[in-house]
Amino acid sequence: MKEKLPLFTGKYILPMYDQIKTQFKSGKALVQKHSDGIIKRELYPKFHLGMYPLSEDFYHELNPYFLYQIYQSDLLAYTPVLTVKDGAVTFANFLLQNLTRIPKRKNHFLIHKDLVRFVPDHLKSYFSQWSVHRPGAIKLNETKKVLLFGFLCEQYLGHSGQREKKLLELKSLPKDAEVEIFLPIRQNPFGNDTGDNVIPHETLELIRRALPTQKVSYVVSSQVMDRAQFTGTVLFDLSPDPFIITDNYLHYHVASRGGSINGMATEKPQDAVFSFELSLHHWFNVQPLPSVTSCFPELLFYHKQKRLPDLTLDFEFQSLIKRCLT
Amino acid sequence: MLKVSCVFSFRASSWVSCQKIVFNLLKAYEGNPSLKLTHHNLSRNLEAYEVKKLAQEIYDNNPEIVAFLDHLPHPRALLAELIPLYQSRPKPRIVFHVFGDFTLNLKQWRDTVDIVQGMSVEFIVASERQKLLIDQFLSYPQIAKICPFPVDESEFSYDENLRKKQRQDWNLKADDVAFVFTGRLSRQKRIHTLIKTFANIVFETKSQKAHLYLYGNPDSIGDPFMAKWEIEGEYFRKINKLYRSLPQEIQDKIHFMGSVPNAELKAVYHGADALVNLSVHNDEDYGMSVAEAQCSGLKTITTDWGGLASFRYPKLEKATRFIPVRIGVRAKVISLTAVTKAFMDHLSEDQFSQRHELSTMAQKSFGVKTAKNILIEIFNHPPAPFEGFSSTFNELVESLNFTYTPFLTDERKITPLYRKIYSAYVRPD
Repeated sequence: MKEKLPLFTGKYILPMYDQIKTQFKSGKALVQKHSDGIIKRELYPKFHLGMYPLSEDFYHELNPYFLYQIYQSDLLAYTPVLTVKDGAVTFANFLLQNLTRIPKRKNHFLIHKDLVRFVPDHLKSYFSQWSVHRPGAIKLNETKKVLLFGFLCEQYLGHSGQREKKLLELKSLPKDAEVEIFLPIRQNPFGNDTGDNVIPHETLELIRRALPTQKVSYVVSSQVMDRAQFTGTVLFDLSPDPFIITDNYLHYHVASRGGSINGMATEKPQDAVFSFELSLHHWFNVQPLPSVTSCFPELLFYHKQKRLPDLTLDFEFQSLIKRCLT
Repeated sequence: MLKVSCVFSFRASSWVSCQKIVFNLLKAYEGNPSLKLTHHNLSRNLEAYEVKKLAQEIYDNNPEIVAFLDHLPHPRALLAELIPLYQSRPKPRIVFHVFGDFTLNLKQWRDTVDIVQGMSVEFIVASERQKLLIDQFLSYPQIAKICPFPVDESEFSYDENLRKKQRQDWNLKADDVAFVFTGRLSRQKRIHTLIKTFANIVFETKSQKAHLYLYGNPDSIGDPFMAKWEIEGEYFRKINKLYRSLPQEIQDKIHFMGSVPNAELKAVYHGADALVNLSVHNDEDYGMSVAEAQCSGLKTITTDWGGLASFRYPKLEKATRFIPVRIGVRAKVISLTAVTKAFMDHLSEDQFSQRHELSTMAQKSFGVKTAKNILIEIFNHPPAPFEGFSSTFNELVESLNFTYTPFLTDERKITPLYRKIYSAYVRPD
């Protein structure tokens, strides 16, 4: 094992590190305005717009992008490194579609820790983990103001049991804290809408039950997106898992304007190999992939069986993903 | 007594300086015993029927003056509902406090012409240079009047006790020199140049006593008229990359303080030795941070661009320093030699001893009380009937029909049209 370790470091870790450094130096990213010439935004999937404001663009040198926006593989040639913003569904779908292309293209993908279990073992050298930390963040029990956020749809909020469990965390909120509720009404981004549902009513009732005494007000997107300052505010995201998204713009928006995000780390991870500031208030870190058992074979089996080119909107595939996440 | 309907957004603007401006303008109106005011909310989230209702509310109030105090939303939609209500009654006088974004909203202004044509319309700007700019768009004999965006004297004034405390908070020694910038960290405010020049000086002089404090959050406005668009985070990464490339001892001299509540800035201005603002922002009609700093008795180093040029005191030359700006082939160009010299001079000069005098002069020029008197003077002299905008205005609007960057040629050079219009913002040769 001792002899094998330098070999592994030399073969995988160092080239990965060099690739990230080269990308960082070049600063070239698909979201930049001067990339507009090569990108046809009209080819993005329809659900992209429905994910506003979570899907808003922001820049850093490691090229943050949604893989579902890669409508043709040539776009991958543009930058050697890509920070994956996707949630589990579109990430898993991308892997299945590009299983043979990934080793050929030799891109390096930075993914959220919750997506690691979807990566097939033989492709792990093409992936690292990203994380964000916010030094000096305030905790829920110290805040005077909390911004409660969630898309009012099941794919974002999970089932009522998950919502109830998530809302239990609000128990530590001071009694006199001001609560702003930002619950944009959206359809499930990945289809499968069954018409009427009780999610809005049910969610509000759960919130009321979790916050019986706090003063509550409702805000809309423009009130949140136009705000220049979130100092002293904690964003409490109701999403129980990264089913839809991992790199949520709203987290970036609030953290970069001085706010805190519930659950975001406050210290740099010890195994970070590369770090830089995303704003005056929060940092981006690159870490090696942790060792976890991959659930990819299960997905591949389903994919082979189903023979659909794109599984994003497939209900059974989504259930499979949910199962992997839990 | 004049009945005035003050129209502004009750929801604060995301532009911190604009929040402050509206708030203080309102104080200037409210402090005026000869005006009877009513307040009306015109905010961006109003539905069409709410705008209609607002128009009726103002009409029922029967004001002699309808004053628009805010920059957003544009008043066109409200005026389109309000003016047709005046079938039998004489129409009120309309007062627009013009902000820097006038040139960004040209199409809305064009669409306002038919609604208010022939009426008594007043365009009030904040500075001499902005007046030169706006007068180009008005048809003679219509001219813009100047009323500076006021500073509340009770919030920004000289207090000799504050300096010591602030410098203790910053952990500065008596002979340390603190330069400060307050505002958005924005491309057009040339924060990159500011950091680079400051770092060069510290590097060259090996000065241990120079510090640069930057108060404010980065933005992503870019420079759209110059075809430089940015997305969120892009400008921050640019300045952060520069900052991190500096030697550690220079990084230690540059302090990113983030955005703080406006009330805390008074102490910041007292602790500092000079405010530095290298803005060549397209819409730099004024400079609220400069006005507040001077009212606190702080010396200023600013570009000689747009409204920033107003902050000058012939009787107190030492209190201000202006960096020459010219409109170059592809961009607005700041004299880096002058920036360097300004920094160097401040490092070698004795402490500025006339803080109290500067504060008094600034308050006299830009205080709420002054604005109150100017407004009365303006309201005592009705303007000529509004006959529409000038041919220069129309030329500019037409150029917008074909491109998002009306001020650049295909070779990305600044057009003669831009030079013609924005020559108002530079000192004449």
